[in-house]
Amino acid sequence: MISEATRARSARAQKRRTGSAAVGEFLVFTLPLLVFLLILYGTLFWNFYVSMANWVSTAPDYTFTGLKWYNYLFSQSRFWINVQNNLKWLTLGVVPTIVVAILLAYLLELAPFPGVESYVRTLILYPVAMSFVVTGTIWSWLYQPDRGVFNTLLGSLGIHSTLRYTSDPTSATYWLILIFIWQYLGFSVIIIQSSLRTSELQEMVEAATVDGASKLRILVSVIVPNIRSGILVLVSLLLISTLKVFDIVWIVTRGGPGVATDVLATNMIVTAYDQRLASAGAAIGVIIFLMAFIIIIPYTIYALKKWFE
Amino acid sequence: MKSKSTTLKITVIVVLVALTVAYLLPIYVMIDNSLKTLPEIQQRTYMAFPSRPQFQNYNSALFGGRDFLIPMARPIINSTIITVSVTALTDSGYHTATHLSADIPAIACTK
Repeated sequence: MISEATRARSARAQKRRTGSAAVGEFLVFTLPLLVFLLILYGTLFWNFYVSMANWVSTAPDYTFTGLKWYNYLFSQSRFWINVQNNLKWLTLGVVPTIVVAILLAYLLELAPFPGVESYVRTLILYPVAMSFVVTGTIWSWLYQPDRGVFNTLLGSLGIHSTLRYTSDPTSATYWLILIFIWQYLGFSVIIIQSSLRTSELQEMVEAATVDGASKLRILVSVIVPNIRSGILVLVSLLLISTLKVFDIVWIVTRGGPGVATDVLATNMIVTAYDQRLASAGAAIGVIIFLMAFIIIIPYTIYALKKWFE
Repeated sequence: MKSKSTTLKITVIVVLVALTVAYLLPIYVMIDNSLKTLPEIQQRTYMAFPSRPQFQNYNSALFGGRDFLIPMARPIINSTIITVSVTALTDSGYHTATHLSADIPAIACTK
């Protein structure tokens, strides 16, 4: 009798415990999700809405104007220069970084001296921890055409350098991209290295070596096809970093000379806060978002395919 | 993947020297100029050694000075607070999530 009652009581207690645990779990998982959705998507849709309003000064004006501010942007040559520069960043900031990172990671794996690998890793990884503001300031000293460090060094080697780096409108963006590559190389090498270190790949490389393949041949035919997933992760991370590029351009050139190095993000700040065209600034924000979306779609499709394989 | 060929050794040494120069030059310029006075920095002889090395810049950067209107001490404390709390929160959140998800199969079985 007693044991029956105790069992019933303990079963009830058990049920109550699981019930409250379930409620707790529900709250733990849904509350952050709700806050997250509200902050992320709420502000996103707010931005969409503002881009279609008529907000042109400090006082908000929510009159619906449709695509007026998009047409305003599309009619400006500055906007198309921005798009071109963003595309330069997306291609030249990603492809050379990955090629150099693969070559460097492979060279470090082959390095015949002890300690080379850890030395190089420390050496090229420290810029990752530095702010773009610091890097940008130092590199603007290096790049000055008259007395900058590079031209001083070239001059002391007896070469009269006519390079004008970021003061030359035709090549300024490329010199800015070089800073980005310099800063992100260490990070990329680390990711490539970690995907080189799988035991399957090591076995394949050994088999290819036994078959008498040259080192370059091994790199092209064995290693690169087998570290696809690592390269894909790196591509998406670098694409995101280059798409939202702002700090380097803002610190080193402020979009100049003229608008030669201007990108969408710097134009957005100037439009929204210097020219006080809040709706036009929001429209640029929407365009940056759409570009990110277009880049993310193929990656998502690939990831989903992998998931359901 | 270890190898002893000479071309490889030469390549490694060349790459090593190039990387060392490329990654230490900006650091050299930064530290070198931090030891100069502001008028000396404005002469823009970035590669030259400071004529009289001094640490006044660090002092005024941390605690405020004529050319540093915002002392860095408070921003450094703010950064520390953000770093510590974000790391602690994400880490504890991760542990909570893994702990709870480990419980979920058990709950499913009792139903």
